[in-house]
Amino acid sequence: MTALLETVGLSKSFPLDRNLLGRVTHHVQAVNHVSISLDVGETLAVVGESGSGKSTLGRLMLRLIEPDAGSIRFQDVDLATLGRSEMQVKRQEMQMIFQDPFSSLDPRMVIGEQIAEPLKVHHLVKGRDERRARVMDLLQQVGLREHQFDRFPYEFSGGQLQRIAIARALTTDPKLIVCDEPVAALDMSIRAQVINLLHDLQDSRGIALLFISHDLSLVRMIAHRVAVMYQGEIVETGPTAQIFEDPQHAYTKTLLSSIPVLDPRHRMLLA
Amino acid sequence: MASPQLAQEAGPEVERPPILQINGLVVEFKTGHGAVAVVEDLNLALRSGETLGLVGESGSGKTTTGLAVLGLLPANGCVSGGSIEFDGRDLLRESPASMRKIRGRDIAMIFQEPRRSLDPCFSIGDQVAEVIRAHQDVSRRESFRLALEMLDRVQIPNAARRAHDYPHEFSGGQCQRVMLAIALACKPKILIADEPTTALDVTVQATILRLLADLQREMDLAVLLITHDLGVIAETCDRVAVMYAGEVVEQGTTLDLFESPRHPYTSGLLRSIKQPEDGGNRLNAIRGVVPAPHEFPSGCRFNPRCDFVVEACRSAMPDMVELDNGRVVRCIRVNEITFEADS
Repeated sequence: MTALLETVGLSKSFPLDRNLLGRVTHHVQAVNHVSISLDVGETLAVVGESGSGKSTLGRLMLRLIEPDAGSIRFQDVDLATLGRSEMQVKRQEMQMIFQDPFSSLDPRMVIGEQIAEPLKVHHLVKGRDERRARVMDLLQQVGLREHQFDRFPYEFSGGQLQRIAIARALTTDPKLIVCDEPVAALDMSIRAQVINLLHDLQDSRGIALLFISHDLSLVRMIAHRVAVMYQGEIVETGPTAQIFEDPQHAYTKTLLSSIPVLDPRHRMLLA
Repeated sequence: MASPQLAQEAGPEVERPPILQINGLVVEFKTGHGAVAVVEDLNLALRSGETLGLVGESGSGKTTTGLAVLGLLPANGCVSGGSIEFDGRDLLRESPASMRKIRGRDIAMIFQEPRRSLDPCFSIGDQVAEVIRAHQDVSRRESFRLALEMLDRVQIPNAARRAHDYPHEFSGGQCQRVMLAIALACKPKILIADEPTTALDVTVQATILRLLADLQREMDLAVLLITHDLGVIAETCDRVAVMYAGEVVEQGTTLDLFESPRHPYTSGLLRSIKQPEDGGNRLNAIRGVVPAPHEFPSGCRFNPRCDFVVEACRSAMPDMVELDNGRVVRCIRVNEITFEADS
């Protein structure tokens, strides 16, 4: 089976400091020689602490930022060879959901129009009525009501806004969604709802999810495979059960031993 | 010095009189929707050497409770009922001047964003020394020496040299250590820690929680730990109060609460973060949305989301039902419903 997406030696650095002449004197290697692959319909979790480069990796995969080195193959096409307009067409297949739905939605636009925007950009539907019908259908799929089409973002809770962001990501019928901490900003009694929604959509549409998260307990429950990032590099990758039950890399072990355990009888941190 | 271990099971025989006793607390905020009670009929007791967890979602009133204890509610908020007794004194009757003496000396608080709580214009040594001078009659030089001692105690490496550095030169975890140094510099009896590790990475969180537990043991400190993270509660707290929509819905020892939750919200929350029993990938979610304070439902505030709701749940706010081992539950059906044990 060929991978849906495959990166080879992907690297990206950002300038930290420049000298008088504008030359970069220091830089941070945010992503360093990352080679991973993602299969159709699979959930790959990228875990790591803040600054480990996991968000940068997610953005690189969609070519939202350009890599310094390395290649990204998506559906057997090298993304680097695509021009601007070809890339835009390709992006229909790859979407993204961000951590904070309050800032990833436009506060001055009704949510129905925001969900419809990708349909307009990619000329996927003809005319107003068809567009509206498609949005209504999507609203229903993410558990919202049709009459909410004409509401503004401030009228929704965080969990509902994240559903809207998911609906918008679904408009172009993508094969891959990069989810960057999709539930970190949500109330805890709402998180499971949104996770289940992503899971159901993956099931029914065969979407692959790149799930960027620092919440290891959550990752353990939902990911098929896990990649552990540390200082820009993937230090360990494997099936979820294997990573959690038999971690090999020292950093993975440290990370896992730091997770608070939900069992007051077996305290790990204060033992 | 007394050094009670973090008791796994706080037995009733170790009852010490509470250092902080909150009874029937009601906190109201004036909002665009009129006066809204964001904390309703809240009862808590906190003893020296003990960690009480206050867990709930954003808007459940847990931070407001902490601020009310310190008399630090924002201008549009006020306590409209109940009492907060610290060491036998009702804090709600204290003058602003005497509250200022109590804050920092007897009761201290640390917050989620340590860097935002520190003043970027002063060295951290000065900021620790400041609170010492505010509450103790010591010279500038002596206060700085005590500050160094405190920074050393919270394990800032090279404290003598680092004391002259500014907040931006410290990492998030180190800033939280500095906050702990400031909070504990005057040896308070109570520390209110509001999401102290939420902004930190898990590995750093682990070291801060360990440090807090060590200092607590050394100082026989009572800790009110406010968090939304049930894992942190399970690791650190002796007892827990679960808040939902401004009310405590269940309170008990950490062990009891995690092993046999009795309120549907507590049970639902625990189920939603555990691996589903059927081994599938679908999580056990609680349905519905968290209500905003101006639209709290009548009756039990959890009733629109509850799987066990009956007509009576919608009419009147349930009273607290007392069970054994100090457990209290705000649910009229507490003796009828059982949740499958999952341990």
